[in-house]
Amino acid sequence: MKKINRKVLCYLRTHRRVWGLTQEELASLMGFASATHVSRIENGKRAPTVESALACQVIFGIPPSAMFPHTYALVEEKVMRNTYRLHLAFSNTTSLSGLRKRELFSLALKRATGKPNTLERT
Amino acid sequence: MTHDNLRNLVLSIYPFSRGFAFVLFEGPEAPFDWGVKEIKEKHKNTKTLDEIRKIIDRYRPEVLVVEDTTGKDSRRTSRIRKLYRMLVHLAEAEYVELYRCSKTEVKECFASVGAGTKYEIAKAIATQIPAFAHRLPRLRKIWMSEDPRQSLFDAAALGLTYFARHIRSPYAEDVSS
Repeated sequence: MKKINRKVLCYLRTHRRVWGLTQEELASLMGFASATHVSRIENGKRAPTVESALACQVIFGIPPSAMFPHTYALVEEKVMRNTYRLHLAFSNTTSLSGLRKRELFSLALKRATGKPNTLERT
Repeated sequence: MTHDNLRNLVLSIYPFSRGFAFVLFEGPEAPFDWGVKEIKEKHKNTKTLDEIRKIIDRYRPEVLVVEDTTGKDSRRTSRIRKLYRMLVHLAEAEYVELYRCSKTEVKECFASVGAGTKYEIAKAIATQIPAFAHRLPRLRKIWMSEDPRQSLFDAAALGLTYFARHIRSPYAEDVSS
């Protein structure tokens, strides 16, 4: 039986090494005191903060959803569940604001279902 | 590197006298992780196997690519040959598909880009994969020992040969003809 990978997928280590940066150098670029923070994010022991994710985008030019696909997929899953729940709750609405919200939920659900699920692989 | 479609990981291993090198590929032009691990103490094979097991446990690759040492062109030591046999069992135990490619296959694969020697192959890989460019060792003279960084390119060559045989890669067209 094939074993399943439960490790968190993140491309920070890959991009850091592509550019020959050490964890210390990346930590100092991102404004952290030590390399421990970078190491923990790379090894999936800590989820990246908004500041870390944006700092990575500034340094490497990779959006957070592509740099941390697993974290993004987890957030997306949770948000989509809530969106779907609200989408159903607003199914009988006739008010203009309700219809506008339904339109947003439909668009969000369409976006989410139109791309492959990264959680399935990991 | 692709981020939208996550592909199956391919792990190529190249053991050498002082340790082993590994490259984990997402695709022929997309290395995910790579490195050279030096193992200097006694019981090198056991320790090497432990390290490789850790990598497999961490990334769960679909395919493990190693050199085929059964051919006449292979000149690996008995220790390395034994390690390869141990790797076959490890791949079975970890449910990882094993692919073995000979030195001749690697040379055939890179002949299309005019690379015949190990150094020329390493240069071709460095051109193909910029992430490895800064790790290219100097040209080895006959009185010099091999640079450990060369093994990284040997591991990458195995992985790229696998891709050339199985999916389209920059080298695939010439290999098939």
